[in-house]
Amino acid sequence: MSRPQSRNSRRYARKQIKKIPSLNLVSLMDIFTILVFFLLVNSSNVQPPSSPELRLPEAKVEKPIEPSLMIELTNSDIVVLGRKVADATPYLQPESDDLIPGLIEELRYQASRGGQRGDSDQLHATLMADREIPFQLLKKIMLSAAEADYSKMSFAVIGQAQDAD
Amino acid sequence: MSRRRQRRQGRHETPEINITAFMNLMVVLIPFLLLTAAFNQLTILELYLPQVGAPGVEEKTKLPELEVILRADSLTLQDRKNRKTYHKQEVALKEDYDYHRLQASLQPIKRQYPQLSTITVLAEPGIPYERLIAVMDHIRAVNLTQDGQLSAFELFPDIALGDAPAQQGKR
Repeated sequence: MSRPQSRNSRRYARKQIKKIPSLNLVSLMDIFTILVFFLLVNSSNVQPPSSPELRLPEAKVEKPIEPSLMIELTNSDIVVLGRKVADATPYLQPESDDLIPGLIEELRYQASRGGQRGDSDQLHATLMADREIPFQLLKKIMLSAAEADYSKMSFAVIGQAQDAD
Repeated sequence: MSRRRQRRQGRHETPEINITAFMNLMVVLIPFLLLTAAFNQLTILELYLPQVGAPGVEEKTKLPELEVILRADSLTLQDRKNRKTYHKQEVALKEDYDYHRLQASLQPIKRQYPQLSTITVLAEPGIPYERLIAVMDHIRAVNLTQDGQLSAFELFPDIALGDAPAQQGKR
């Protein structure tokens, strides 16, 4: 930096330096950092089903969802890993069969490909069912899963905040 | 150089960090995380599946075998072994059960048999899943306020499912 000759020119030089526009981004960085940590904590690798036909029930449990075979169940379809394996409608009738062949076949195939095993070396399946599903259909799903050696079963629900009962 | 000048110069040379790379990272990370964010946390209720092949063990214990029978119009809490009904409530069709009364009658049983953790829920074919989950949720644990603080007390977390027996007199 060369030394300015007179007082006037010195003042002029200072003015020039001050005119360089600089954005103060510190607060923006703060916001972003907080947001990133918040979203990191909230993120999960299991996507909730977004179909309007599948509304999960709510419960006050805190156990997080585990990686396992997802069975999605609505009033019309039985879906395993995004692929429809059977129609649910005929199994809503009381006199229908107890086992669902399409589901058993798919579960056996998934098990042969090395299904998800829990702590006790059991095949583990998680059921995402619509809240309107009657128990008889649910029972058939569970019986079919047991038939295909999926002996550990859990129900996916939307966790709620704890409140006094 | 005078001291005054040095001070003035120091003020002007504020260190500028180049945060362009950081901003780029944030701009990519935030939309990605927003997409994967789970705003309603998915949790699971685990089912207890009684081990087949070891029936002799259960016979010896004196613990009651608790059953909750869900029907469209009533809820019964009973002990299958001793044929004792602890609690029964009748509800109108399509109406929810009174879970608080159910929990109130479960708590003394838990106090009497602290090591008992299994219970069976027997449901009629038409019981909707939502109601089943609500019952399972309420017999699993109870939230009590103690010393102004909310805490969960375990009731019967090992829940098995089954079919409700046919109702007598209504066949």
